[in-house]
Amino acid sequence: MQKKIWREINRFTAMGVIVLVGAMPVGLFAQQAWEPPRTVDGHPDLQGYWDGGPANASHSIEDGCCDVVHARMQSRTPDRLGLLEPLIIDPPDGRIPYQEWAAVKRTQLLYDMETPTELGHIDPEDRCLLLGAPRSNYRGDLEIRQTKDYIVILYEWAHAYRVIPMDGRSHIGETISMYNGDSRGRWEGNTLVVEARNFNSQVWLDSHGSFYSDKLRVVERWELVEGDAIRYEATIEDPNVFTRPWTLAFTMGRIGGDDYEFFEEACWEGVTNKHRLAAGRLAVAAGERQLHTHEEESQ
Amino acid sequence: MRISATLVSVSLATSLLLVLAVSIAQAQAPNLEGIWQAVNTAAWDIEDHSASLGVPAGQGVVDGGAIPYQPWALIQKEENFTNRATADSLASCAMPGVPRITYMPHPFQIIQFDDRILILYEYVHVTRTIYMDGSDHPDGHIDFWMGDSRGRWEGDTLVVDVIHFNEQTWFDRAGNFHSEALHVVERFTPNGPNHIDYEVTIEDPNVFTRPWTMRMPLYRRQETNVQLLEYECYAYAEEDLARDK
Amino acid sequence: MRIVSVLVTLSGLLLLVPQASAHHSFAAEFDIDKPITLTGTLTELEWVNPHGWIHMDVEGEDGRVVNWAVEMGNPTALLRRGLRKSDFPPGIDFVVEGYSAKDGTPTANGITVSFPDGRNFFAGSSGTGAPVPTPRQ
Repeated sequence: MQKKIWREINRFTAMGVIVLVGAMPVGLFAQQAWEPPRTVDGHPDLQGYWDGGPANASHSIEDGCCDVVHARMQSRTPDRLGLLEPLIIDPPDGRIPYQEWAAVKRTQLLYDMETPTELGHIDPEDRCLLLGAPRSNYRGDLEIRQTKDYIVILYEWAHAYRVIPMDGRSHIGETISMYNGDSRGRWEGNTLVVEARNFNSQVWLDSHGSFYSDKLRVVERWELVEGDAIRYEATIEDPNVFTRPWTLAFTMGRIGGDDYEFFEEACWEGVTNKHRLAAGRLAVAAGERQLHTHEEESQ
Repeated sequence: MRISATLVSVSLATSLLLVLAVSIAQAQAPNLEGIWQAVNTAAWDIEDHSASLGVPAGQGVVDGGAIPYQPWALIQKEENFTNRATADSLASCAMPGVPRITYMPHPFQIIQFDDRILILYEYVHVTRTIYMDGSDHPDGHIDFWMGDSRGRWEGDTLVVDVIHFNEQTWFDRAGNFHSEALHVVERFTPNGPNHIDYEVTIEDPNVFTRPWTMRMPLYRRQETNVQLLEYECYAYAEEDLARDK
Repeated sequence: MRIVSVLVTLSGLLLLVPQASAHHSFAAEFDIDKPITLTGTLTELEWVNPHGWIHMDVEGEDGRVVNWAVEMGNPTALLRRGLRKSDFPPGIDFVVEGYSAKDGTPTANGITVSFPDGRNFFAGSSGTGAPVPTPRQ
């Protein structure tokens, strides 16, 4: 009888030890490399609210913010101008590698946005269009939730969201295009890798008319790093528009305490581009065109 | 040596049992995850209605048949119906409110956690977070299109309490409306692996003589690898649909 | 209308949340060479995203009252600080400093909004300037 009891207890002990050892972070024994907190599935836990990276990136991923008028209207001090550090890490010059025809078109948009005469001249963000990837991730705060089969990214702005299936299914057919594209995710070690395609060509990578075509493909890497942050990297490819793939990267910090919640941001309810179009049409009729630039001289 | 081995064994066993007990409790809440869709004509008219061009006939989803409007409100509803092509905020691609978002002819996805349940809708990328952590609604009044949702489990039923609505949404295209005082209680009860019984109680003392209830089945979308796509409504006719100002 | 051609003061950027306003193409819509100060009465506060609108009756020097539309910042920021639309009922007198729209309509981009005594319109809830003494837990 006693032997039987001991056998049972020892069986429990063995199970318990297996459970505990399995749950212990490797670091406890190694006391070396930092280990991320993990979900019950064993993957790094990316869940929570994050600050969407560097301010000003959504205005221009090359130059931050702003043009002179914008800066004066908001009384921006020098610390609120430009980019704190380059967003584009490849190519090293930090500029989007547009093909020649595309660079010309982009410059045209930099004129058009100052005197817009049609909706296509206005920053998609001001039209409350979904901003796709990667722009949604540096436009503002985001929330990540994860299960075994899905990672969901919610954005407070315009109540946007992306659903990322993790089950290895194929992308949807090529002829369906969406603003936020179609994403598929997988884990590579501690890094969440997301491949996105099926974008439409309606939105820009920033307010500077940084457009792309529906052949855009984005590979994102999301990695939890020490200091309660996510290191985000996106490699962008579009053979119609860019001379080569290029990469931007930044770090997003965790935000919010226990009670933090997103509020509803309806966006479309307040879109009022008619004034802008009216002003633009008046200006063009009067022969006034100017380039959107952050340089002082043009003002 | 033997005594300490006993202590270790017993404490490990206890921890294991505790973990098991907690997971069983959480596992008792049904799993509502998946992609769902209503199949009825409620989005057109939640009451019994005949067909008209582009509008299928439908049997109503309102318990008792008729919505219990106050006399002034019934007149308003008739006026809404007459003007529905432009007076319905959905016609300018505003968010549909609750419960209309549930029975729009588009799928939605439920993703479930212990402290929150996400419902993501294909229709104009509406998203609702149902907070399951016992928190209160924020102080109000707040004008949200989709309200503020706080939920709890009652056995197998997910009960969701929703307040903080604006007065601009309708319950359907037929002009059935409410005020800012709208209070919605949804009940999602699984009925087999592929159906949810959806029951909604509507309360609005400004507009109705009493609370009333709608009910309908929700169907699990069965196609392999079905997923939400996009219906970006306002993007398809932006300049026409924009506000006047 | 009481337009005072003064440079806008650098205070009170509570209307504009830095992250949200990086997107806005001000130069296309508002005129930096037309700063404006409007003193008037609130007729309607549109608590909408991405930025709300203040509608105000402003009496001109000619005695005519013109209703101005003033673009304000993102109301989610105000919500998060505990402010509610009900804190700003119609009838309140206040002062707006901003820039006029380029299209010639009575529209402005609001940079600061304050009460006539200088207190910030959007500062805090209980006790610091909200005109409606409705207690909130």
